[in-house]
Amino acid sequence: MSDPVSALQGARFDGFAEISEIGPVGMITLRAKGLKSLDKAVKAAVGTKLPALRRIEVNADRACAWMSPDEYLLVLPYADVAQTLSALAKSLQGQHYLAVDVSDARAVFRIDGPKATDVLRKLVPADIDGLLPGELRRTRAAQVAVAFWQQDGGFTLVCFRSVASYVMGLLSHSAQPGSEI
Amino acid sequence: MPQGAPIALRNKMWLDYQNDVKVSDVQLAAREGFQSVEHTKRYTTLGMATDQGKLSNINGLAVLAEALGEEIPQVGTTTFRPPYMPVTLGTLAGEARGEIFQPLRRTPMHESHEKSGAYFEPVGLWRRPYCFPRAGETHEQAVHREVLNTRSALGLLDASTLGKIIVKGPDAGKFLDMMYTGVMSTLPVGKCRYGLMCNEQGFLSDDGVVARIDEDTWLCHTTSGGADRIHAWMEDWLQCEWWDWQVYTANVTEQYAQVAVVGPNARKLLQVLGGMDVSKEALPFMQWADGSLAGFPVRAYRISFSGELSYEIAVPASHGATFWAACMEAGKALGAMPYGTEALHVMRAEKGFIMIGDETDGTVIPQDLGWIGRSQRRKPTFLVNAGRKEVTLPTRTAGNWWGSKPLTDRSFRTAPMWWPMV
Repeated sequence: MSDPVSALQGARFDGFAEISEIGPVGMITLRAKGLKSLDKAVKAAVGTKLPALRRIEVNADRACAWMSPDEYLLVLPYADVAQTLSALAKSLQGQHYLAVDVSDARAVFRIDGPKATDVLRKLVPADIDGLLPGELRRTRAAQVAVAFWQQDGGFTLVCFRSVASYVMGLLSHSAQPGSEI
Repeated sequence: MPQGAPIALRNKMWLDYQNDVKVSDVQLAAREGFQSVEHTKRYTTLGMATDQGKLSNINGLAVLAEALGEEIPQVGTTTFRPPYMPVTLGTLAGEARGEIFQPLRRTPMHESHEKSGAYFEPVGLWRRPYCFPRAGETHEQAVHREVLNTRSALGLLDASTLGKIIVKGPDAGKFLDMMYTGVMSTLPVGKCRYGLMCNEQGFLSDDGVVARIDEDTWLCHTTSGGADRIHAWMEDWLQCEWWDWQVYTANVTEQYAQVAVVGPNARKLLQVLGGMDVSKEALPFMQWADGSLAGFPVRAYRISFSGELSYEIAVPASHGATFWAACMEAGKALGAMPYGTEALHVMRAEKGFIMIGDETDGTVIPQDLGWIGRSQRRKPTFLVNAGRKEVTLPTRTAGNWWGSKPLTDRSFRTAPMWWPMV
């Protein structure tokens, strides 16, 4: 079997900010609410505590994000997904939850550079100035759903795989040299 | 306006192009006594459009000044509002331009289809191959070839766009019995069942094959255009109506690339790829199995929308392109050809299978499609039962539909094709 390929196979654009498609990145949608062993299960999976409302807890290449009152997104290395899913199944056994691999359903981008925020300001309706460090924002970029958060001095942005080239086009267009805000 | 233009023409001298204010309107305002510029503005709506008078106000003030026999500065100006500076059309257009004017959804195999010269058609925001014309072939000829080849040898369809929704929880079976006209709670683990969905009024809204994954997990396939809508529809019922039911859903449509392997040589192709038992005994019709094919991790569904021997193979999307290429390569010796959505529809119609979106248009109920027996047999928990009992529904379409059914084809199922006459 061949290696898994991300939607755009690492496409890059260097404008006034650097846009790069990264991945494949492991992602698990975890739906659960108020379970006794949920904290422990998430800690074991990605090494973080459960995030509070709108927040994302980052632990190097792993993270857990609050997506809704009963939904979390686990971010982890692609190769660890299967093993993490079976660990979750073990620790949440007998309780009502749903954990599914969504790694391949997504495309992940990095937006880096001192003016990275300008790239997003032109595309999303979210208040970028109101985005605190450690917050994840679920919103849209132009016409499609995205989520993003600040990490390592830039932004990590997630969208659906099928619209990866549209989002790459958006980010590149927005990062055109000379179009800084 | 030409020199000496008659009054009829001068009455049509446009001043404010956004609000359709004419020179004669401003002159009338002056005659009516609206001498203040602010009053003239409100009487005529001059300069009150989104340009805030940037295109018309100076001319308008001049016309008013002339009508009042004054100089422009004496007439004064209205309150100056944004936009203060000219903006380019590019600023207004933003990112809505060229390639990114509209988000197009692409399957993992999209690039391969482009290289094969596929003629695409829009399905929602997806672009799906309608057919794969060869040099010198019309689209119609290509469709005929694809249908005949699939019926006689082997056809491959990119079915990745089909919606896939995981429904899990202690109440998931009960929930799906409400969603579908058929019963899903009794579906044994490992098996598949075709299901129809209706809205509250009883009109058909979506269809697809449901697979029971384990004791409390089902996978619901939806139409390509329906995935987001049906997922939202399920969440709507779960969050607003049955919030105390223990059911979680997840839309995993894009997690998997799906390839329909169809035709008399379908099983042979999977056997050439190798890795799992796909024999009639191990994987009977309407069952699914996890395994591997040519080293790819797959879930194989033995389902058919063409009436032929057929499998749908789901692989993780990040392996979709290479798996498709592996099928095409291994299929060469078996006469494999890709086929598009038109061949899919033709084959489906030839066998009399229901086609949501083609023979339903939001005004069709299951009874119209000969599905009445199946939906009436079920227990009384289906969410549109109330609507179904409305006297209008069973009688409403009586005179508006006709059906046709070839007499010669014995493989034809019970339901004829129905077409709206309205």
